[in-house]
Amino acid sequence: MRTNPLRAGTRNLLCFGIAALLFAAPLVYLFLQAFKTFTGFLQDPTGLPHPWTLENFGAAWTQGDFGRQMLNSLVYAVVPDTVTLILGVFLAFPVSRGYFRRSNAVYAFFVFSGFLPGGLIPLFIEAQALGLYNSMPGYLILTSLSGAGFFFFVGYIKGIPREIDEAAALDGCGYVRFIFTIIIPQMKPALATFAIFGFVHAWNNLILPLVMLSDQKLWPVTRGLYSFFGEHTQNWPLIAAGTFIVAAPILLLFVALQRHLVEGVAGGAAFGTQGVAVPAEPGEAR
Amino acid sequence: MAAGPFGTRRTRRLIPWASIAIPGIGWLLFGLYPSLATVGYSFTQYSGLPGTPLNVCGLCNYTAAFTSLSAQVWESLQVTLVYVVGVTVLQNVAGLGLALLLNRPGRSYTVYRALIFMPQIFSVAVVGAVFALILDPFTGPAATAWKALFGSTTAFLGDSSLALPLVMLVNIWMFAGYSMLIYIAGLRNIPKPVYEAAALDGAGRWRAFLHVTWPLLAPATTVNVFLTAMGALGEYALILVLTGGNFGTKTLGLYMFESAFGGNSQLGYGSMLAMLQFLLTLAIGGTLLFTLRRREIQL
Amino acid sequence: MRTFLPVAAAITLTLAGCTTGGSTAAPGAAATTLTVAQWTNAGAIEFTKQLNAKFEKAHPGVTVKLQSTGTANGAWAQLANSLLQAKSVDVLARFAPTQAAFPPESTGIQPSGVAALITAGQLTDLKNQPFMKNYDAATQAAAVGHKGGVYGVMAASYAAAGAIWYKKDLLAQHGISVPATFQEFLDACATFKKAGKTPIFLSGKVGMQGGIWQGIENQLLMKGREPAESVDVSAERAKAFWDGTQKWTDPVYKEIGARYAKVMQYVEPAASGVDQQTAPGVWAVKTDDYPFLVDGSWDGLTIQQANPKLNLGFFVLPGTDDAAANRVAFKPDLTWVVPASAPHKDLAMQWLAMFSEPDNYRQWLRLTGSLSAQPQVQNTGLPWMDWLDAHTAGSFTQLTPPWTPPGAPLDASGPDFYKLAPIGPDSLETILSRSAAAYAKSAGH
Repeated sequence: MRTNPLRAGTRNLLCFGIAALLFAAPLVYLFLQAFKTFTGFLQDPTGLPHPWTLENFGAAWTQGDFGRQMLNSLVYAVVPDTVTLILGVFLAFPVSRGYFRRSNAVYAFFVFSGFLPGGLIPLFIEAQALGLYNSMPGYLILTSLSGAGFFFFVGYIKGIPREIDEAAALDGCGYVRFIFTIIIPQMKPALATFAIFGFVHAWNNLILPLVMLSDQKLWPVTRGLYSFFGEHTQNWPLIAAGTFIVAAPILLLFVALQRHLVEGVAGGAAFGTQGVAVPAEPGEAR
Repeated sequence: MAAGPFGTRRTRRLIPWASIAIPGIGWLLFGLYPSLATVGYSFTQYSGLPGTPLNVCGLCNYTAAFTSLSAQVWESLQVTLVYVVGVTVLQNVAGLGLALLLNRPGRSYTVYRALIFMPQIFSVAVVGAVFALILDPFTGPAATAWKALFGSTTAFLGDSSLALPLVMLVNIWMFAGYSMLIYIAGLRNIPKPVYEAAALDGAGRWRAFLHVTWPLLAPATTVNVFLTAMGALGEYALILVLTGGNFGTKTLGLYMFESAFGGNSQLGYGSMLAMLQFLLTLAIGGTLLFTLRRREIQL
Repeated sequence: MRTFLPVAAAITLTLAGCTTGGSTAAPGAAATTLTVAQWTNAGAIEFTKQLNAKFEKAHPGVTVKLQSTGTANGAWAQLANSLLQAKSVDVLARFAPTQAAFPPESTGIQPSGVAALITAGQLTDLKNQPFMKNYDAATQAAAVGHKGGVYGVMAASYAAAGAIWYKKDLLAQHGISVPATFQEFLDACATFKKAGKTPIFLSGKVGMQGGIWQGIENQLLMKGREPAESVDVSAERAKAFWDGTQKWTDPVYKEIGARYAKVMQYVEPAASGVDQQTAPGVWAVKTDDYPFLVDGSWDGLTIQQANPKLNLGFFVLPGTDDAAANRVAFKPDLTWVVPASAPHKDLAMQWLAMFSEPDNYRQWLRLTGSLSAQPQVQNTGLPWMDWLDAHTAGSFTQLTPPWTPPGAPLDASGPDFYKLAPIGPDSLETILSRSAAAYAKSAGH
């Protein structure tokens, strides 16, 4: 290897500067506002808080009824995230292997239709007709029954040698057991990546719970935050505190799983059309 | 092969279909059906409110796009193209640069990569709040910095010449970490001996990058360019929270949103614009995939 | 039989406990839930919560559920639509459609929004409800009436066109009294500018500068007409535009544009980047500069929260040189409607009746800063409302824009204030001819 023109220390410092000043600082800036009093913010919006206060976090927590909503959000994020990932593997595996007639056509159909615009109003009418409106199980069914990460997984599974399918089948391993004990463990990095994206997407979803869940006790925390925003439009310290309370769980999850991200993305990158996120439907604020 | 190795002779053909049945039905019900309804609505005059009349009117909304709305559609198309091209190019340059810098072992680099990746886990509403604060011409730190640099004040997101570049920068800020990760993945797939061979040939760093790294990164570039372009094309929520689509930032996606939910909203027009957006996505996505794949083979 | 009943009740109770979301409560046993939905506005929400508590007290066994969300990102539009689809809302807040939403059938324009609901028979006619007697019938008819029916209670209207907040102490320091003519206003601005102040602050990011234009436009077009005639003036103009005899490039709009430009030269140059979320606060704490803030009368509470000590005043920009013509135009805003599908229509009427009681309504006005729609309830006692209270006599319903088909470009309904100089890059000529062309295309000229 050639010697590095940047000495290790300089490079480390440069990278620190980019990561901290360009990428993290804006979020830290918002976070700092949460420690100001409202008058303190109005008098000195850019400076450090003086005096520092923790009151905003308490006020946001109690005024927003975030406690119960936090639990709801966790259910709305974890259940569909787990179910869609498993269904995604079951959907992707036979397609990727070409285990049935016209699997290429099925694949093309899913890719193509993923780009079609969504339709919130017809989805709502349908959910209501099926009795899924304003109920927790209904909402979970609505958000769980699709195979998330399908495109990504099709590519990833191609990298798993197909010989093991036949070996396992010869050993009398059943299909479902094979998927759970052989394929899914092999896909850990890809699943971790999608678990994060799926969780973040579900956690940040606002419009779907807004229209599908009308009872306040069923609300996820984003729905509560949104009403909270509207009632305190100019109290930035309070808004910042509420924002960070709501974002804290995804931050924690991210810190816990971020090591897997590089690997997970790496696996998908081997295949060109992976991970094409379904285009956001109108009104779906992410 | 028309069947997998699993199951008995009788169930062998059924197992793959059973495997895709539940997610397939879920997708038909909650994915495809609402989409097809939207296609249907694009041929109607309909307010979208329950109990109001729905008139099927054929191509009326599509004709309007090329007559009464042509100036707006054309303007939003131009903004969309600038946005997509700008974001795609700059985000890839940023992602590649970051990948080359940060593709190092060591705990500190893991932390840096995580920090750079972090912005995209926040909802658009949070990002909007962050930049509303930072870019406020009176109370934001950006105004202080601008004054120190240029000795003047500016309206930032309220300035027609600055708004679009600023929104593009926020978009890149949010998603450059993802591009970086894909490029890092690509870099790790390049075998070391290839570099050693290049070094033996006496290639300098720049030449090595140009003749070894860049061509071998082609699969990662394909993914990155495609994903960034598609993402930028569909982006409207970020623009909405930053500028509301004013000051020269009204992309087709935002225009669609406005028609579907604005004061004078009409589901028929909104659906038609969604279809235009869909066709544009297909055209750009198809062209990109085709050329990028051909480039991969040629390199 | 005696022993059977409690057992049956116990079974019913256990069964009720099994259902999710409590959607199938036993009839009569559980409380009735009246659903009220409105978009989020701090003062209005606070009032509704107070009223709901009062209503629950007066109606034992009834709980009132409040549904609300912000208007940003289309959230409110989606929520209102889904509640209507689900037929689960009893009292719903909508923006007043005004008569501009009902173009004559000869135009072929299909109504949208609330007007579409009204013409399709989806809203209840409230005209003969006893509580409607508390309100001015002509104003209600202009806001939400159609073909003799009145399909809502327009409960809040605001001074939006040319609405200006001012710092009483700062004006007093410079010996300036509230201007009554356009020239006096310009002179006041010039005096402040000479004293090293920036006269006008506003949130250009959400288009508050449009209020200056609309203020001048309303007063110029209504000059010499009776307040009650404003609906006719709007209709005449709409017809003239539709027939092609009036255009956005007509001299009157150039005149309005010239006056707009004169005011805009006193506006803080970087104001176009100021968010509505920060503008009132920034303005309120800076007591030694920015004497004027262009912002609707709904923001009184917000401004006072930011600086409770500010000696706050409010007036409407005098847009003409004739003091008598410089009257207040009020914009019908929040309107309560009762959907035809409301599950508890009688309770909804009782809720509206309670809302309309003068004492409750006065509290509503205090918390929202709205102008009164009830002739008996006039003086709210809010200190900043002194000027408005003295100028209610000649006030009229704000003029509505010409008819445009749904989905028509925004340019067709008037100038684009984001693009018009000095906030935007385009000259008055460009803006007006663009609007004229967009209107002509939309109307099929």
